Amino acid sequence: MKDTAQPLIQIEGLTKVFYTDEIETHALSGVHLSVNKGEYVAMSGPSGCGKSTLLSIIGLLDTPTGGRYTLNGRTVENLDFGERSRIRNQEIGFIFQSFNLIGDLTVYENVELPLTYRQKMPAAQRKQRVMESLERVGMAHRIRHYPSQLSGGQQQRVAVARALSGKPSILLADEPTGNLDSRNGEAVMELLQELHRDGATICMVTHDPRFARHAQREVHLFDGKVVAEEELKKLMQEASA
Amino acid sequence: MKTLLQNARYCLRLLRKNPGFSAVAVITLALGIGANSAIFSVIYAVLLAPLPYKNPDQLVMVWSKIQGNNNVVSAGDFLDWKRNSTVFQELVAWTGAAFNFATSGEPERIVGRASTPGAYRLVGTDMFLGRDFLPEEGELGKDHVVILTHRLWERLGGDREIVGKQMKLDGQPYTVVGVTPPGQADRLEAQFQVPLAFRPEQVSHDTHWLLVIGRLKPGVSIAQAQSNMDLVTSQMAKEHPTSNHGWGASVEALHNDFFPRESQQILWLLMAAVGLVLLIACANVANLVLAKGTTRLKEAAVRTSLGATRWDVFGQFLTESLVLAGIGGLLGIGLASLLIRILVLKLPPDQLPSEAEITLNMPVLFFTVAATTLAGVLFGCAPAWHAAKVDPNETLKEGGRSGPGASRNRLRKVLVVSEFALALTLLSAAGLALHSLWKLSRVDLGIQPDHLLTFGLTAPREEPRQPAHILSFYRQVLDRVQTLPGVINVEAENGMPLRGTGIGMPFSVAGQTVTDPAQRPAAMFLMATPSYYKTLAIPLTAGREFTERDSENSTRVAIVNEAFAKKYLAGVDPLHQRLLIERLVPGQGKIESAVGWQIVGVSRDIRNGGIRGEGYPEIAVPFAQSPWPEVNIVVRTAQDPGAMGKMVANAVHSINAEVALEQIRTMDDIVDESLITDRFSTALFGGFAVLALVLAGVGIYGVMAFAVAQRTHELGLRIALGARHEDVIQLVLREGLVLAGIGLAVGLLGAYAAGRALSGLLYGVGSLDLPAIAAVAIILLTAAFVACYIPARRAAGVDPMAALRYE
Repeated sequence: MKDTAQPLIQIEGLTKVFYTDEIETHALSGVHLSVNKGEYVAMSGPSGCGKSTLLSIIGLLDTPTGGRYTLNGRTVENLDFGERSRIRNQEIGFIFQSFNLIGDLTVYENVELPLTYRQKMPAAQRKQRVMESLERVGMAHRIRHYPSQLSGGQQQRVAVARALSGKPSILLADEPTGNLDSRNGEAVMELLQELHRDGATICMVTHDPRFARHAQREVHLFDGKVVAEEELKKLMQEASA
Repeated sequence: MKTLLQNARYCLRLLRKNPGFSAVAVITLALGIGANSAIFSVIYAVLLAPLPYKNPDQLVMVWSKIQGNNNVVSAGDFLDWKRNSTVFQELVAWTGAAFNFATSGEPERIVGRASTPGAYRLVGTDMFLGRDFLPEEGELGKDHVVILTHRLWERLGGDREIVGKQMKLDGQPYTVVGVTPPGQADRLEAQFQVPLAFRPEQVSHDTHWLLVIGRLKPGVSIAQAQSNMDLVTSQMAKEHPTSNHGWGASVEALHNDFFPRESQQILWLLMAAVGLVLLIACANVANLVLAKGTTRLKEAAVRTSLGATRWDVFGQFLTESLVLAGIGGLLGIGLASLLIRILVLKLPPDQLPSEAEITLNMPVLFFTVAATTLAGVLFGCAPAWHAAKVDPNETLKEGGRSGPGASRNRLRKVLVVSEFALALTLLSAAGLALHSLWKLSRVDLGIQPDHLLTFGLTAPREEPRQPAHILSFYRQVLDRVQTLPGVINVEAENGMPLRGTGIGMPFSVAGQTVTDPAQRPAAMFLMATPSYYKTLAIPLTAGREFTERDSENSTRVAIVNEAFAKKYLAGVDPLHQRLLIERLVPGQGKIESAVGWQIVGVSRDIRNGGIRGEGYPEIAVPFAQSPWPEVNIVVRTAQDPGAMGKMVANAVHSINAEVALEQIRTMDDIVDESLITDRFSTALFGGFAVLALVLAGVGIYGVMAFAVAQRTHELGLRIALGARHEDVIQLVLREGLVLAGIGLAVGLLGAYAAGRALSGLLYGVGSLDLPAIAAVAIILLTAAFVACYIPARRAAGVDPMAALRYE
């Protein structure tokens, strides 16, 4: 049973400014966003609109310049590095465009990696979690393989298994199909849909409208702001004109 | 723990995957760690390890003391100390002894010790076979027993039933009563021990010739023992005012009592040198790991994004460094074992205390583990910290910055600068040692050392030893050798240039009032035949040489050296002075009342106290007027002296077939031997410095090669914009040589510090030896040039199209 009532992510007036020499770049300018538990949200927009920056802040890989961010009921925008690491490890599962598997670790070890940073998790439980995750993505038969011995689609499935192994509150996917051909891209999207159907909360960045349509809800960004779809179209037209 | 093991396993996998990187890093570390362990094994064995005896802290040397200096002990003093002191469990005296030893070949002179009974019981050494001497074997008539060292016992055939059997020493039967265990005793020159039974005439308070070792009673400190001996010696001075006034005793711990302070200093400096080598090795490996880490920034970022804390990532990378260091340490132990074997083999004899057993024992292994861990932490911390503070957001961005980063590059440059600074320090130390050795090898010895053959000879033992017998024997020997073809001159003396005479005599100048005999000055006392000065080519600056007319019945005459004249006869004509010196009674260890010796000549100083010494004050007297049973014979030859040994030996044996010629060697060999310690330490310093040079060269090569690889695009762009090959080569060379130059500038401070540390050990060079520093700076810059030229050539060969397309 999906619980969609309580917001898992609550973002209010989030800003992010990059300072390079004397130039200020406003990547995010007062973003408001709410994602409920069990929701599948796609974030789209043109290149440079701030969607990856937003995802990095949601994933606690980056910190906002201003605004409030509450994750699972906890204010997280001003945590120190160690605390952010702990929350990332327990609450967030990442799926990257370029898979980011560690080439010198086997499939099993890659999936086990986030669990190794949980000091108190017994080895037997770790093993069970790893195997469950790999079975979930259909890669349990490749545990001794190294990433270089897998196709791109298989690597992304392993990356999904790695994201799942920690049983996070939310999966964050940054262009998960960007490095895949259309067939493998579709397969990964199918996998995300399955996970969503089973209750996973997913936040996905994509610039491909075909994949964005897999999500329950689409959030459009333009120049660091969340805009409605119609407004985005208008702004895009103005920009191209 | 599991995480640690997991990290270690992962590291091993990475090392297997990168064999080139692994090999260079492991070998570099092994060289550093191995050299450290090898030198530490010497330091531990010599300076830190407890003596291999029972309750070694109770063992002390007891010396006579006169005018603040330690002296050997007279038999009378020793016996009084034994009788009157209350702080020792036992006191044992010993002296050197040598016997002609009959083997199947030519007679051989073997060196041993004569010791009052109980020496082995005193130190607590259990015999390998048999027993220590019994107290009664220290009495005349019962003293024809011998204890062999394990080394001599093996040489004699290793007969396990040897105890109770007889062997002939100087033609006399001696019963073997014991064999020492293998080890410490075998490292001594002495190969046997006979009882020291004092003849009545030897028991005097005048002649000092014994070494004394003691074991303190339980609970007695050295200070308490010293107080007790002060009381004993002051009482003795009252009882024997003529001989003992002014004489005291000094109680000193046995540990390293015979090991010169300079040698201890050399050991610590060598330790510092290998420490620097290890630091350079660590800087090198840190550079390699930093370069390698650049390609793993993304991995660190992935780990961080998955929830790894900075400490997790730091721990992961540091564990990898420790594993690398561990492998280097294991290989280093193997290398240390090899180096120790070489050191023990090549170490000049008698340079270290006999108790020092240089092995790869547990303390050395602990040291190795500590050095390995330290190395791992030293070279691992910086790369691990760089990995830990990676920005995951930046690094994981598609097309995001994946380059090394400014701080990482800066650190690599700092490491190279440090390597060159340390290498200059070490090389300049080696340069100083080499310069000092060069100066020493060209020092004016005061003699003409070429074409001289030398050997030791002892007159046949006849009881009692009569001066006439001694004189007659040596006259025959010298006459016979003189007639040999190719012999220009031959002389006999109780001393030897560079080694001194071994006899010091107090004297006074006739006419000067002596209020306190104990405060008389002393000088080396040389007894030499008339041809001494001609044979060694020592010029006289005043007066005449000895002649055959200076016989036992003529006026006693003496020749003093310039050091003596300068120190004791300043402002007067030496040739008008007469010296009052006690007469030595040959072979009896006693002296008779003072007689006058008219100075008839002043000779130029020779190096009579070692090659470094300027020349001690010395009094020479005609051998005929003061004969001595043990002499050195020096033969000046017209041809190669080394080839004349056999002929000379035959000539001596034609007079007496039983006597043995000891240590037949040329004077050049003796000069060479006197440089052996300097040469050995210079070779070690030089070896470590060359290692430092190679490591520094590899270090700068690594940095420049990596920089070129990182800047392929930039270099391609420069070439595309019109830069010529030589422009690119210059660019890379300039960067490398600037780093080396900064390192050398910083290293000047280290070079100065190294010079200061070495100053007490150098000869003829200052602590800031500019020629040596300039020479090593040129060597280092050349190495840097070569190391940078290779990547510079590669940089000049960058295809601009390929470089730009790649980007």
